Amino acid sequence: MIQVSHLTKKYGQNTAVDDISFEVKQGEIVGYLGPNGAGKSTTLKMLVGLLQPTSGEIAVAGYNAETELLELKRHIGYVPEEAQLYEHLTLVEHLQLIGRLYHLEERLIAQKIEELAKLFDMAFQANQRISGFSQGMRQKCIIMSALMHNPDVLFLDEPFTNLDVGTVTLMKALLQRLADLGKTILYCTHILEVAETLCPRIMIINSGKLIADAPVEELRQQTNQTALNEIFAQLTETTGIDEKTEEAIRIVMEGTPDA
Amino acid sequence: MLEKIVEMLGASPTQYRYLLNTEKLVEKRALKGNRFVNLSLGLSCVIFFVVGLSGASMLLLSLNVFTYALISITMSMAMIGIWTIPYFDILIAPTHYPIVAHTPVSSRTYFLVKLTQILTYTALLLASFNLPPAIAGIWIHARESSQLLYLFPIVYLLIAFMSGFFTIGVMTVFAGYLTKLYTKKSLRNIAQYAQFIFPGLFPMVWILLPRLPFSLSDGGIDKLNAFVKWFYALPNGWFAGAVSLAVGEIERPNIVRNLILTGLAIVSTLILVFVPLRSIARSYSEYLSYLLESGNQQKSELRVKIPLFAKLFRNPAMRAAFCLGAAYMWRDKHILRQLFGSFGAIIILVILFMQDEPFSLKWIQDAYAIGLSPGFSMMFYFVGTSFIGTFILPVRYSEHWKASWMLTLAPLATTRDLWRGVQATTLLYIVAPCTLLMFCIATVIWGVSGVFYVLPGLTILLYYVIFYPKPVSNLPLAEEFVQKRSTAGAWIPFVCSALVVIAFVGIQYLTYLVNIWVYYGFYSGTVVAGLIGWIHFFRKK
Repeated sequence: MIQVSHLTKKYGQNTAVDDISFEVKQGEIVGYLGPNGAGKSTTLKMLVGLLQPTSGEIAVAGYNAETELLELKRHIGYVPEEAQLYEHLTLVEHLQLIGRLYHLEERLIAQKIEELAKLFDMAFQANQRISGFSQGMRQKCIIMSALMHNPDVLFLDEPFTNLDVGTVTLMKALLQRLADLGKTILYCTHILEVAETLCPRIMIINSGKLIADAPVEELRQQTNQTALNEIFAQLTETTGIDEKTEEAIRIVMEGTPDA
Repeated sequence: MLEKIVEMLGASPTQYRYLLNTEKLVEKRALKGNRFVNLSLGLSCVIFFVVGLSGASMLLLSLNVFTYALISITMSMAMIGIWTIPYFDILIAPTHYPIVAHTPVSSRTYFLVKLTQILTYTALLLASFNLPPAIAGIWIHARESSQLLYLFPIVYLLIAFMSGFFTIGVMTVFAGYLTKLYTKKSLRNIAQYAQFIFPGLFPMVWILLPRLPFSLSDGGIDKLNAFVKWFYALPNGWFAGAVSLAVGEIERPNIVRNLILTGLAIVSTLILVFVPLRSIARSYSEYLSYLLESGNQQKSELRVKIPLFAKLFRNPAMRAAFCLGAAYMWRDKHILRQLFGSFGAIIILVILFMQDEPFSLKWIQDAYAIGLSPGFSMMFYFVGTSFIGTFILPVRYSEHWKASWMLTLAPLATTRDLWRGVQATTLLYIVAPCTLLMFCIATVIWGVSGVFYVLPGLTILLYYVIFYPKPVSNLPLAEEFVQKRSTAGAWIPFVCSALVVIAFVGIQYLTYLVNIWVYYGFYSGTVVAGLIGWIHFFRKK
C-alpha cells in the first residue's frame, strides 16, 4: 500500500532523509520512530505530497506521488505534528471546509460532522471558534478532519499529543479496528509505549537513515533487550543519560544560592 | 540618551533595547526578499514629499512666519494622522505578545517598544514631508526683520517633528483609552468597534485643509489672518507659535502671543507624555491579557448550517474557499480594521465632496451626454473598488497562514477554484451590497433611469475583482501575516481605485466627444460584458 524507494530529501548541504526504502502492506500498522530531528516528519510530509523529495520514488495506494499526486491525496488522511488550524472558524465550519475540499456531498458532510463530534465528545463545542479550544480539542479537530473522507491510508504524526486518556484509549482501539478493515497506518511517534502496544512492526530512523525495520519481537532478539525504549536507546546510540542528568543539574543550579 | 528617557518613563532600558532589536530582526527576516514593503514605504515618502512641496508653495502668498509655519505644520500633522492610522495595529493588536506575556517584562516597557515602532515610521514620513517647507522657509523669512533667518530650516524641522510626535501621542491616548474599556466586559464590544471606526475620526482635520486655499482666493490675506486666530486654540497653532519665537519673532505685537503659544506647546507635550501616556502604558498589559482570552466558551447545542450563499456554487472547492473567506472577513481583526478604516476614509471623502464648492453634490449630480451622471458613477466605482481592495489585498495574509497545509493537501485539480471562492466572497459580500445601495440612491434621485447610472459599475467591479493581482499559489490566508507589510500597503487600494476610475470615466468621456453613437456602443458593450461575466462566473463548474 505504501512503497518508498531510495527516498532522499536534502536542504542545501544538509540531508534530512537519506536514501530510505520500505514497503507497508494493506492492513498493517507500522510505527515510525526516531529521535528529534531524525527525519520522521520530513518523510511523512513527502509521503503526503506536502514536500517534494530530492530523489526517490513514492507510491501510496497504487498511485505514484510524482505523476498521480491528486489521486494519491484522495486516498490518504494526515494528522500533522502541529495542530495548525484556521482559528477563526468553528469546528463545524472547519469540518465543512475539509469535506468540501474532498468533494463530499453537503448532506454527508453534515451527517459526519454530527456523528464525529458526538463520538469525540465535542458536540457542545462544535459551534465555537477553534481559537478558544485547548490543545487537546484542536488535536481532536485534526483527527476528525483526517477521518472525514474515509481514507485508505492514514499518516499519523504524533496523533495522541495533548489528548486525554479516554480519547487515547478510543483512538488506539479505533486504529486497530481500521487496520482490521484493511486500512494502512503509518504511525510516527516518540511515545514508545504506545508504539509497542499498537504497532506489530517498527521502523527506526536516525540522522535521516533507516536503521531498523522489523517486527518488535525480532528487534528484541536482535538487540537482546526486552523493552522498546531500551531497544531504541541501543539502536540510536542514546547513551550516557546519568552523566547528562548530572551536567543538567549543575547548569540549572549555577549561580543560584543553592549551588 | 533614549535609554535615559525610557528609564525616566518607568521602563527597563535593557529589556526595551533587546525587545526592540528582536522585533526589528523578526520583521526584517519575515520580510526578507519582499520588495513590496520597501517600495510601498518609498512611495509613501515620495507622496509626502510632493505634498510637502505644495506646503512650501505657500511661500508665493507673501505670508508671515507664523502663518507659513501654521499651514505647513497643520498639513504635516493631518497627513501624519491619516497615514499612520494603519500603523496603530502595532499597538492595538501586537502579534508577538503571547511569546513574552509570561516573562517579567513590565507593561510600560512593552508599551514603549510598540510606541517606538510607530514613531520610527512616523519619523521617516515627517522628514519627507517637512523638508521642502523647511528649506523654502529661508526665503519667506528673508522678507522679515529677524536676525536668525538662517536658523529657520533647523528650528522648523525640530518643531515639526515634535508636532508629529505630539499627533501620534494624541492618537495613542485616544486608542489607549479605548483599550481601557476592554476591562469592562459590557463595554468590550463598543471598544472593539470604536477601534475600527477610530481611523475615521482624526482625519476630520483634513477637511480643513482644502478649504484654506479657497478662503485665500475669496478674501485674500486679511481674511486669512483673521481666520488664523482660530488656530491659537489648536495644537498646530501652538507649534507654529514656537517656530515664530525660535526664529526671532520677538517684536512687541507678537512676543506675547508667541510666548504663550510656545508655552502651550511645551506644556501640552509634557503633560501628554507624563500623564495619559504613562497611565495607559501602566495598564497596557492588562488590555493585552484580555486579547489573549480564548473567547466565549459557553456550551451550545450542535447545529450544522450551510451558509445561504454557499448553495450558489456547484464547485465544492470554490464553496469551501467562499465560506472560509466570508468567515475571515467578519472575524479577522486585521481584515476588519482595514475594511472599517476604508469605510472611515470614504465617509470623509464624501463629506469633503458635499462641503466644498468645487466638489459639491451639484457636481455629483451633473449630467452629460444622455443624462448619465459621471460624478455619481465615479463615486460608485471609487467606493466599490476601494472596498474590494481593502478586502482582497489582506485576505492573502493571515496569522493562521500555517493552516494552509490543509488547502495544499486537498486533492484539487487546480487551486484556481480556491481563489475564485475568495473572489465570490468579494462579489457577494462587498460588490452586491454596494450596488444595491447605489441602486437605491440612484432611483430615489433620478427615478427608474437611475438604474442606468449604476449598471456599468457592475461590470467595472466584477472585472476589477477578477483581474486584481492574486497570489501565485492561489491560496487565500496562506502567506505569513507581517504587520509592516499589511500597514505599508494600506493606501494601495485607494490609488488603484483612483486609477481605474480615471481610466474608465476618461474612456467614456472620450467616446462621447468622438460621437454619441460610439458612446452608446461603449456603454452597451460594457453592460453586456458585465452581464455575461456575472453569469459565467457563477455558472462555471
